[in-house]
Amino acid sequence: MTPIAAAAVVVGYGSVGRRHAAVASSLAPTLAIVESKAEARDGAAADHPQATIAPDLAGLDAAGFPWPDAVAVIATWGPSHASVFHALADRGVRRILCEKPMASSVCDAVTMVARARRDGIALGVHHYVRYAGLAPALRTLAAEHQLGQPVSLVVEGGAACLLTNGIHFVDFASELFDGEPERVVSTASGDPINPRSPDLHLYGGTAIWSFAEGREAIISFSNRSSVAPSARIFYRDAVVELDGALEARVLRRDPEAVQRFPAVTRTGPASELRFQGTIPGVRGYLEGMRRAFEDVAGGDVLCPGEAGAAAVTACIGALVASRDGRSVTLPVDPASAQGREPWPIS
Amino acid sequence: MMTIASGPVEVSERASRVGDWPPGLVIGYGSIGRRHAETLGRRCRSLAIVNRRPEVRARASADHPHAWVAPDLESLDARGFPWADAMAVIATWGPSHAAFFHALADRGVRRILCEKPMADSVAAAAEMLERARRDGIVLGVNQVLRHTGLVPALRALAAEHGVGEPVQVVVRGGASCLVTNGVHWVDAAIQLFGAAPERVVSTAGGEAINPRDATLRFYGGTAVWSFARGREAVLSLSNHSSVFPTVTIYYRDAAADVALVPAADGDVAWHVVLRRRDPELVQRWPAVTRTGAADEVVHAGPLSGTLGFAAALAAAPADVAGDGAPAVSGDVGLAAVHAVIGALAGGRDRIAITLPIPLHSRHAIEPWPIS
Repeated sequence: MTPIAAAAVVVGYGSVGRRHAAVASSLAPTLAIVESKAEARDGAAADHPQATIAPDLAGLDAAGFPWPDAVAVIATWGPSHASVFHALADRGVRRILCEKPMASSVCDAVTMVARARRDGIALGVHHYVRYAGLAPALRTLAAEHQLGQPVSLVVEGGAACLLTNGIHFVDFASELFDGEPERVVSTASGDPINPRSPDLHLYGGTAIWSFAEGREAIISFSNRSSVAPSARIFYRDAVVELDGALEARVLRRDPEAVQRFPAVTRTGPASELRFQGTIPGVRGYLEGMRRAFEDVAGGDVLCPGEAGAAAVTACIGALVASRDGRSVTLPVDPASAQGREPWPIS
Repeated sequence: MMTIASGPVEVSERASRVGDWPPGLVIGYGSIGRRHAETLGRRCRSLAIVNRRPEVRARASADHPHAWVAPDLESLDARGFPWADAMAVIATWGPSHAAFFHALADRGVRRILCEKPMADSVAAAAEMLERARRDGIVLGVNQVLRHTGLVPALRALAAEHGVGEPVQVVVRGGASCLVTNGVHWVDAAIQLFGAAPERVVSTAGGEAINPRDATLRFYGGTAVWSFARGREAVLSLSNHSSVFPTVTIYYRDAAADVALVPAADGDVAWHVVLRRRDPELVQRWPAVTRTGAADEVVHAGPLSGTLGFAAALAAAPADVAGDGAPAVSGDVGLAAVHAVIGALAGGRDRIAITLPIPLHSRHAIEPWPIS
């Protein structure tokens, strides 16, 4: 092990927290795990016999945990992220990686970013598609095949949740289009089928985020289907298809047909396969997670709090748009009623 | 909630029942009008073609030397066209459909096939339907996907493989227009789900790139129609891409990729890949949130029982040539007009539109430059 931090603390030991703990244990000599559920603490103790396991942060205070030297990972559910962040900041932690969604309200997310700036905290948000390096890898691939600029992103499938998984693709769209969305309309609707907790909702439906120059990101997840999501990125005369493992197919139209009938309305099938497989430069999930930890530990964050707050704002905007039956202009004002409203999101 | 008949359109049977058709009239001699004229030229006792452009009329005369070719309906009045016995096809652009329908009805025509979209406003479409009922006019609307028999064939395929009911339709691609081509897919979703949509949200925006005419708009963007029981139809057609749209229909644990592919006879034919999740995995983790790839292909190939596009287009006039009620009726056309105009209004006004649109509301009265 080459330590990159003197200590690490992982708050939350669910399915994602366990993976963060595995990464953290390989990068920091001192590991602490905070988990409120006794049975999960037993699992943590079994997985990491050398680690300090505590039911809450106060338990680590008592054990003399070296807060200022530590990298912290917040891997609880969304509604507790902000309070855990502030509790860590109060203890002097200055390197924090927060799971998505960064917060359960726009106001909380923006407040976290403001405090991180004020207190000099390196705050990263774990959007795995960004840490997978998909957007820059795709940009390189698109340039290689002369696809031009992406014009729309369509992600579709079954009950993957517009928040839980959708937020990764909202963030990806912002990277892809090199800007934040300007508006959103949606049919998002929460069902009490979130496997994490009955207190959290799983949001199905469709959301359409509008970006500058007529570009769009569409996520359509039906809570009535179990088919895993897939994605398509459209270009002027080509489409890139992505499966759930981010394996890609680049398909373009016959260039001769495009040249012969150049009007955009003369559509034709994109049936010429130009590339198939893993896009060079795309990292796997665990590799990306490790990169996220290393980034925060080193203070050079690929997915900073600002990106996390923007994604939260875009997603919460979709929930508001559907409930209120109108388009929501983004960003949502954090001081507004919609900005302060918390949502049961994971 | 508006209920729409969803049975199969037995086009071949209907056509074969008709025998000699009455005198035929085709109004509009563009790409679709030409195809209707070809059909009516073969099947009708006589043929008349109306088109306001001289160069188009010259072509019509060349294609159909025995037809009466006229610039307007009044010219046919002067020549004693047998209106009351005739069947007519309205194949002009959307904004003129209602006016031609009423002009034909005024002349006593009682068999009318109208191209889609049935009208350029909800109120105009509703008035056409009302008059058809009042005057005993057989009014069909050529939403040609119905004539291909796609939905009944998909339903049969889904039943054969036990994948259950469809829950979501997604159409995505380039500049095909949410109305020009989208209206077919909205209609297919209505037929697939067995009912009209209840609400629509949209980002639809019109651009002056409609290849038919500069006065018509071409609508890009995305529209989401919500149906009962959480089902949705999503059409996402970017005016910045030239990629032909593709379609996927989602089921509980399966998906059907639907495409039109070139056929040996020069037409295009439906091709479907029906893929499902591994049944063992579904059984082991039955929660809908335990998503998995639908990569077990159970059908890949032509969709039996369907017609290609050209064959369906040729069969469409038969819908009004016979004595029975048309299978693709004015009610079907009106439901589709509600749905697409709701999407345009929702996109412009940035609000969710409840469907059907109330008949005397501003959204119902407002005309749109649609084709």
